[in-house]
Amino acid sequence: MTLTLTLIAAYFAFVLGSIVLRGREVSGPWWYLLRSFFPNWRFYHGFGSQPRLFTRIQTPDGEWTEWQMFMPRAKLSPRDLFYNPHNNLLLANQNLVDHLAFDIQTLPDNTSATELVSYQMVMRLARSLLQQQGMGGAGGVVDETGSNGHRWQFRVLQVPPLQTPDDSMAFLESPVLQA
Amino acid sequence: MPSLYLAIRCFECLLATSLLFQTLEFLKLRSVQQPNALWSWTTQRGDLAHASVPVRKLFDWLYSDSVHRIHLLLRLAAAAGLYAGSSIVSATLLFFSTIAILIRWRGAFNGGSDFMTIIALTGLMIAHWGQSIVSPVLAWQAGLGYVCLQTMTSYFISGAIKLFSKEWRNGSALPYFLDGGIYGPLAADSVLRNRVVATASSWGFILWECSVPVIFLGPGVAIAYCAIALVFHCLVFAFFGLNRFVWAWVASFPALVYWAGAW
Repeated sequence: MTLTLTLIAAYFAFVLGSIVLRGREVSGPWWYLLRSFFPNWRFYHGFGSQPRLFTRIQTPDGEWTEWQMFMPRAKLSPRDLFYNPHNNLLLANQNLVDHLAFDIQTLPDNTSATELVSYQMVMRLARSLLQQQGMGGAGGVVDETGSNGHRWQFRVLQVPPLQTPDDSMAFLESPVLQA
Repeated sequence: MPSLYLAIRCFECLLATSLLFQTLEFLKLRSVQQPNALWSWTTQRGDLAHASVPVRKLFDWLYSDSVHRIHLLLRLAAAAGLYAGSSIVSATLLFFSTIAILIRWRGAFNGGSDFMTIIALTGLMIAHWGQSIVSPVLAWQAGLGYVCLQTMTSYFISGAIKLFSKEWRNGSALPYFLDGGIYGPLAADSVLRNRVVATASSWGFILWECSVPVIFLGPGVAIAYCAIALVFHCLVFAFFGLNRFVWAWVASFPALVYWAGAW
């Protein structure tokens, strides 16, 4: 009994120590894809900046719309407890933006962000958001192929807690793209 | 001491439920994995640019629409089969199926619930593959022991990490994160915006999570701890939409209760 208690106490002391004294982070393509084997359990601990995706489109008269922020939002339904694919997809899409922000921070020199898989996927996400929102006003609705001849852009901002997003927080802005 | 057989059957049935819900969602989400869709493999296969040609071809085949569909249907059948009892075949199939699915979603689809699913399936693998080395009883105890230890670690780290955060200790983090939740933001007059309530709630969660070793006081305490955990996970679902967390963690509760009384 005493030995068991000692072992349990030692284990949790070790876990506590691992929180305080973090070692070198191991990284690599396969580590990234198999990271679910190495859970860190650090849920909602970071009170830092949150990467947020913004999109805008140019209307037929040449004016740019306001930047629209992508924020996963939904209405609570009890059914979601059992079957919630749409909302889980929204959260996975936000994770893409988080990963793009991380990838850019760790991007090697002489490498373009546009080569990143996360960049290409976030670009697709931005385009799909424009399709869903039908942005651009009258005549500016993007069709199902993503083509309407309009120009659009996306950008990612690191928004600090409790602050209103502004241009100074942008760390990635796409070139003007053709819808 | 709780019966090992009862713990195994509860573990298998709850894990089956969790895997069934997940797999049905994955089947629905095949629509966003089609060519030209957001999660198209055409783009995502760039994640395997470092891999050898045969490995890339293997994954191209595995994630082709028809094979992926068959894979998910097989997984659905294997998950349902857990209600009747697991086997070395179903455990191995579900384990590698989960790895394949997670790679398809760039390593994780839903974060913590993916971690916990892998842990439960690893426990199931230990229980079945371990029987080629030790007795079935010892192998199952080891499998459930692994799940128990990892679940306890999940609560403990999740609580302790907040203890080191000033914003969690003073209650400002709780409304901030709840505002960002999928069902957020909090109502302007929400009681959780009150600093005293937010601070008390934060400390309640932190102390409860850090106190997970108390389950070793006995199965009764462990059951009470799990009941509170169920309420906690349902609250997380109600604010953040994380339904998979509820089922993934609930599947581990039989392991906690069994080991709480097994020493």
